Amino acid sequence: MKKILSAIIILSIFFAIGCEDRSELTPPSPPSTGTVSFERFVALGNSLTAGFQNNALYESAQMYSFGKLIANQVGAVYEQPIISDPGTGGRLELEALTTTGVKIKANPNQGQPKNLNLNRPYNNLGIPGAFLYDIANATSSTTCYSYVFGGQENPLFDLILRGRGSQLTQAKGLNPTLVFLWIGNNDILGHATSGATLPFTPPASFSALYTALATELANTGAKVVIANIPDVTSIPFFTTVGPTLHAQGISAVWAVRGIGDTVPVNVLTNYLTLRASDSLAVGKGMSKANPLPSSVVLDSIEAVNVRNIISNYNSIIASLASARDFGLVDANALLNSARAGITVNGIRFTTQYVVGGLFSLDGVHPTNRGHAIVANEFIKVINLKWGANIPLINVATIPGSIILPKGYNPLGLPILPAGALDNLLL
Amino acid sequence: MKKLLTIALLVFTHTLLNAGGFQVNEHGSRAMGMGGAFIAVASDPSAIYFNPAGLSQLKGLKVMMGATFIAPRTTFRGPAPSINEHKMVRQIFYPINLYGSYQLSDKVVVGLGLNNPFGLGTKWPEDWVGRFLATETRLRTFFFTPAVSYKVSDNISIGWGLDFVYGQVLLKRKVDLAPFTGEANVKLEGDGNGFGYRFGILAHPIKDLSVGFSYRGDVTLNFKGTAEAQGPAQLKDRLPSGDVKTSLTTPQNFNFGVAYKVMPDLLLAASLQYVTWSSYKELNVDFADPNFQDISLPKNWFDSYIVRFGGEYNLLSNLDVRAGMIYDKNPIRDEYLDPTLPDSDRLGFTLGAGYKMNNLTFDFSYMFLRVAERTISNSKVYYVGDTPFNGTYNTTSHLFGFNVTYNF
Repeated sequence: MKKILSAIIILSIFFAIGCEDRSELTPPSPPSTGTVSFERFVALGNSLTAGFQNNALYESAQMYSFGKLIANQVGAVYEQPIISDPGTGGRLELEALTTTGVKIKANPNQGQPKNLNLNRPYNNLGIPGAFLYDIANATSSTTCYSYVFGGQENPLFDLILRGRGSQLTQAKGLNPTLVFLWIGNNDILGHATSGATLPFTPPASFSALYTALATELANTGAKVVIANIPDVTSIPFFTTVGPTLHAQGISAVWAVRGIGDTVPVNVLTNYLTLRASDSLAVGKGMSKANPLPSSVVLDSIEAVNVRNIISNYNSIIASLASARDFGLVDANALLNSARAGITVNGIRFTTQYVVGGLFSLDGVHPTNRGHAIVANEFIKVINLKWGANIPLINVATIPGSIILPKGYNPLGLPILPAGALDNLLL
Repeated sequence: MKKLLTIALLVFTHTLLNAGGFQVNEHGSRAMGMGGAFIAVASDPSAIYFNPAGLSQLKGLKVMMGATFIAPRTTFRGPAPSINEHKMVRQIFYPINLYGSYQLSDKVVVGLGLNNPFGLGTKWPEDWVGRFLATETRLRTFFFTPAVSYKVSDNISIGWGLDFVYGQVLLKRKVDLAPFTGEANVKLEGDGNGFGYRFGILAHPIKDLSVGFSYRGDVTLNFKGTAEAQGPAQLKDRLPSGDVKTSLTTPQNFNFGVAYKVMPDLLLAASLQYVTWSSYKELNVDFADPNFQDISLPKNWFDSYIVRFGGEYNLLSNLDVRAGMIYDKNPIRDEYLDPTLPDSDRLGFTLGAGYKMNNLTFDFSYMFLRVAERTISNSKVYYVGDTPFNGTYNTTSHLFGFNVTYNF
């Protein structure tokens, strides 16, 4: 009997101790990057590369810039010009959301640069507001395209370039192993978002600039991935106000057209920009005597022209990618597919304003999850082209990024503070 | 936005589903010390729980009270392919038991019991990876059981009991608000009543041998409560709230036992407990607010069983020592296992002692439970989007029981 008892006691003690002794699990092996090295990885471009969201550049969005997300997937170093929240100023935040509309406010505060003293170029050199011209030519706020051709200083060039030369110069200085380049959006977007009142880069100039840039990048010996230009008329900046008015029973508004006459414009076949919402709020557009300004309407003819220009740009980009053996991310196809709605990691995304999940409150720039979806397109191209097996980002694990400040004030139409989008950098 | 809601609720109800899997079988220290192999023994007032026919062995008036302290430790490593370890917050649970028996006549003994046969809870850190599945889950039931036994002959007794049941349920978790920043806290709380019955038979076919059978019926608890969400004011209308109704049916238990006095001082016992968890086919949740979609979810659990062996040795005239072993087969399919109840097959070892002093009996027991490591690779529980919550669970548990019985 005592033997049985002591056997049971010994067994019990054995199991009590044994409980901590668990089987080893195998950690996931680090992904193979194929023939690509992420050791010196640099991204060039504009606000999209920078991680600009909700009309501002700020840390909690920069953490989810598509380049940073990809760097995280492979454990690469990726220094960015971090600006603490709420960032560069005028960040848009969602004050109220109802079934009929949203109310947005601009955060009046600004953050501080946190990584100014990095003694080498940033890996993320994307500058909100950069044009194609700027990649090789802009070195400061007074040498950038917007100043040289429009007299408009862009202080972010000083903040990000820090007097160390152009984006291209700094990229070359890093002796890069991998370069991302996504540029050219602003060369047409400024034209489109201004209702075709601002100039665009003519395709011939675009071709010359991009060809020279592609040669420079090819000469670095780095692997290069470039992305093309999405059809900007698909973004909520253009597709929100018209359909909202239509849902309220308004099928046409009075507006000044590009050619100077004032006509009733159909709210569905023409594009009323988000900027039209503050004009509408003060009664503009409801009579011929008080029309919407041309700058807030991209009419159907202008829109066709915009699409043609983008198509030209994309042909140029595609042929250069092919000639130089660059990876090509078809951002245009991605946005086109998103228009009908896409499901990623079980989550449904559309291009609808606010609730669609892809676009931040400025109606132009992606949310965190939008960035993750873009990042996955880059990863797919790298995996396919260079035999890598970098895992795709699980978009569902990326947090939301439309900011909800305290306060609640349900209203109808999208209401933006007057001028909140006037300085939108693209 | 409506979609956000639906997803939120789907996950929510899934947690409720699994809360039914908690059955606690430790409701008397003497029984626990013997590995719960008490169906054919049932010779103290806890017979009301184990086998009401056993009441017929009790003389005079007895009152027995005690509790079992349960201290589980659980870790989750995942979600796969990650192997990061997440530790469940340590808690101690203490289901109570209180029994009284009174011998009315040579043939009839009546009894009254109160205990918590279904319960337990899990709590995970507020910021852990599975917070959209569960941060806290709690289920508690109180069974109030009047019982009576009848001695049919010298060798055979039968017993019955009625169960008046009260239950409380609490479920807490977080909701991801994407595309918006932040997360909301969602809490579902409710209580309800139910009714059940039990019966048992105890026979002594030959000298020193006893066999027993007991049955505890299913109890349907109809819960009524409220869903409550704490989140940004902007999303107030879109988060689940308002009155909620649901029901939970506990399984039936069929217990078969045998006990044999091998030597005058040594009693050996065994029992088999069959639990009809397969009756959990689905769970329905109704929201009073018609804007929230009612839910009906499949669950499809297995029937399960528990095998028990135990012994009691009369060491000194007033001191008994006990030991036992348990194997408890879990009822949950891999694909539905979630962190509200990370169950697995259990192996338990028990030790116990009973000490008599005049009219008082003191019983102590200890159980160590090793819950088998369980790796899930085909989960249908989604912690974000359609990403399954695969990973590896490990649980151990220490249980301490004590009882004091007074013989008037």
